[in-house]
Parts: sequence; C-alpha cells; structure tokens
Amino acid sequence: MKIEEIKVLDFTKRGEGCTGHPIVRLSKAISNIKDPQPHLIVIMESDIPEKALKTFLERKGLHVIELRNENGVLKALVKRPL
Amino acid sequence: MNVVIIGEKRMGLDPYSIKKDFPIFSHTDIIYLDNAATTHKPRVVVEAIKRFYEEYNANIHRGLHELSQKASEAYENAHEVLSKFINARDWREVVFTRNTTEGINLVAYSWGLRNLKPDDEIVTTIMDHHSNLIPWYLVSKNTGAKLKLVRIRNDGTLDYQHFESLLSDKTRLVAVTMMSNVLGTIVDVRYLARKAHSVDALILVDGAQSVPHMPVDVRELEIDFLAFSGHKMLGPTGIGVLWGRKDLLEEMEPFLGGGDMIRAVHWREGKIEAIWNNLPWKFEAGTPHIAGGIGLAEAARYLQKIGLDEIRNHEKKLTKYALKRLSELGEKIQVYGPLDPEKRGGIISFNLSKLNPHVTATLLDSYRIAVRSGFHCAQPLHEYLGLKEGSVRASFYLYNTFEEIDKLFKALNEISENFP
Repeated sequence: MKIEEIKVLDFTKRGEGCTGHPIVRLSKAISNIKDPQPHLIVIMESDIPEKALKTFLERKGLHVIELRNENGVLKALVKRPL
Repeated sequence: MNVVIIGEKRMGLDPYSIKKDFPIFSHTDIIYLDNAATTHKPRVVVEAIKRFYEEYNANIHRGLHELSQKASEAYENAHEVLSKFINARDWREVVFTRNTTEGINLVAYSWGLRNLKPDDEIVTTIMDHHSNLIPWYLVSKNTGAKLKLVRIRNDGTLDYQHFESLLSDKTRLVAVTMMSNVLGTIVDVRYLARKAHSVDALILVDGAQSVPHMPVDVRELEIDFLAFSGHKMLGPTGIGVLWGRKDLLEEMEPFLGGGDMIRAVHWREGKIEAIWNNLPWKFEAGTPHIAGGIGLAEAARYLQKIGLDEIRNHEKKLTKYALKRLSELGEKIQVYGPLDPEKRGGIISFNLSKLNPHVTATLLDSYRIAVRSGFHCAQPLHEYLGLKEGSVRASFYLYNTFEEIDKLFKALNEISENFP
C-alpha cells in the first residue's frame, strides 16, 4: 500500500497589506497545486467561513476529501483530481 | 454603430454593440467589473500594435531608413493624438511615461527635489492612491517639506473647507486625484487649481480614473500637471502620459538620463557637458514603448469616436442603477462614497456585513464576476474609514450593461444569505 505524503499549507498567520491576507495567499498557493498529492490547508474561520472555504476550494477545481473545524481553525484535506 | 440614435434623439451608447469590438468578450463570459484596475482592449488597439510589429517595426528618431521614419512619425503622431485628447496647447507638453505612477514620480523628482525646501508644504488628500502619496512622502523626506492631507466629509466628498484651511503661502504644490479609485468621488479640480494658484502653488492632478471616463480638458481645469495611464483607457500596459505646462517642463531637469533625451554630449577638459533634447524627448530617455504609444493613440481615437460625454453618461446611469440595486440589500451591505451619481464616477466600493472583502471577491469569482478586493492601493483611506480589511470594488466602463449589474446584485444577495 502506498502512503501518500500530505503537504501542509498553513495560512493561520496574517501578513500586512493587500497581498498578505490569507485568502489572497491561499488563492496563489492553490494555483500552484498541480499534482494529485494531498494537501492540508489550515486557515482561520475568522478569515473565511467554513462553507465559503469549501465553495472556494471546489471552484478552484480541488476535491475536498475532508473539512474539519477545530475551535475556529479550519483544516481542509484537498487533492487535485487526476 | 456604437451610439443608438432613434429619430433625432440620442439614446446613449450601446454596450452590447461595443462589446463586439473587444475580442476578449468572445473568449470569456466573465462579467468584468474590475475596470479601475485595468480595462480590456478593443480590436483596433490590438491591431494597431500588431501592425506596428508586423509592418514597420523600428527604433524611432535618428534612423534614416524608411521603417524608422514611419515608426517615428507614428510615435510622434501618438503624442499629438493624446495632446488633443486632453486639449493641451502643444503636443510637446505630452510626455509618454510607463504609467500614472511614473508621471507623478517624474514631477516629484524633477520638480519636487529641485524646488522644495524645509518648511515648504505639499497638500494632497486622504483619498489619494499610494501613487500620489508615496512620491510626495519620499520627496518630503528628502527635502524637509511637510506633507499635509485633506480630509473627506462623511458623504465621501472632499472636505473643501479643510483644504482651504491647509492652504497657505507655504504651500508649493497641491497633488490631488480627480476621481477617487475607491469612493469614485469626483473632485472639483478647477476650484482647487484656482485656490492653489492664489497662493502661488502648483497643482498636479492624478487623472488615472478620470481621463478614461469623462472629458478632461487641461486648459479648462487650469491645472499645471496631469498624469494618467494608457491601460485604464483601453490602451496597452506600460504606457502612460504626463502632461505639464510647457514653461514648467522646460524649466525642469530630466528625470532619467540616457539616449534620446540628449541633444549633445561632450567631454571637455575632463568634464561631461550635456545639452538636453527638446520637449517631450527630454523626459523620454532610452528607447520608448513605441508600440504602446501607437496603441494608446488608437485607444484615444476609439474613445473619442464614441464620445467621452456619452461614456460619462452611460457610467452615470450604470452607477445610479447599481447604487439603487445594492441599496435593496439593506443592512447586508455597506456602500462607500457619495450616493449622488453626479458626484462620483463608475466605481463602487462596498462590504457585505461580516464577510471579509477577499472572501466576497472570491465568492463573486465563483459566479464569474470579476471585482477587486483589498485596499486598492489606498490604505490610508481605508484606515480613515475604519475598514481594516479593505473593501470590495466594482468598477464600470463603456462595455458594462445593466444586466451585469443585476447579476452582481443577485450574486451578492445569494452570498449574503448563504454565507452570513
């Protein structure tokens, strides 16, 4: 059985200015996910509501395997379909 | 025919017909409401650039061959076209730059660094773009001049009383936007120009958002400098205009040194002696963006053919309609800037309650609606308004329709209901 490595993309820390917002950084990071390797996206619910995150990820062509809300920290396991 | 005429009555421009002039709309169904950031290009602009590269590509000036002469003529004509577009007295007052930012920096460095002294004052506004704040901030740091910012009133219009209170015999320059890129607020530039001149100050106008959308006449406005960008007025990126009063431009030292800005360079007794070229070339060092200039002239011709008054009227109607529709969202939305379409251009910034502007923009993208989110390079204004996360901005142009505004409204309504 092949165990796939999960790459973690953490957006819980905020940067300054227009480009530092987690959504802007997430958007850029998603476009760099080219292979079907699973990625764990970690982002604060205060930055994007859970439902909005799911819509956003799916709109960007990612398959959301699992989405959990751990005390306001959203953890989305995603994969780009082959 | 892009302007609908029924009988004798002009019914305004027809955005559906105009859309057909823009190749991008046959490739995408995206509702493009990000025109304050950049605009799409009509076929005539794309073809003019293509024609230059395919038929007469050459470097301008000094070349004796046919291609160079043809390219030089087209590039010089482009200055003439832009000069007429803003009703300048002389085409030599039109300097091609990369964009508005470079135009303002040119004045800041060439005029500001040379003329400003400690205790002199520069007056700009809280609603100006970083492009009209940072160059003056840098110049003030280098010269000791003070930078003062005019407030806005609660309705999003400029506080003219505050402006007058900041004006004094120490004021050397008023640097102001003619249309806020966030609030859409139109500034009475002629009023400010007269006030500035009454204390012997100069006035520089950031026309990035006004020149593409309404008639701008530098003589009528009585201003000294005007900077604007080509890409926001259907032209290519990387080309813009700085217009300046000829006497001022002639007094100013070059901003950049290199080829074409020089008439002669001598090495005499161990020293360089340089004689600057005539206007506008004195400020256009190095090989310029020739194709860009030619494309920009074509864009200006296209806009003139439709009519800047028609464009302004169309955007006024769109803005009025959009403000009405957005108001139907009630407390779910906060809209910023003047509510009177006469006082603003086709730029509407807003926030959906409790939803981060980036999230709103991201969700609008899933409805295939392109808007912008963030501070729109006007962070001090957002901080002044208490908008720590920025705002969402929808901005219109001649090809936008009422139908698109309805789709924006429908999407925002659904987002506000589904993502409270």
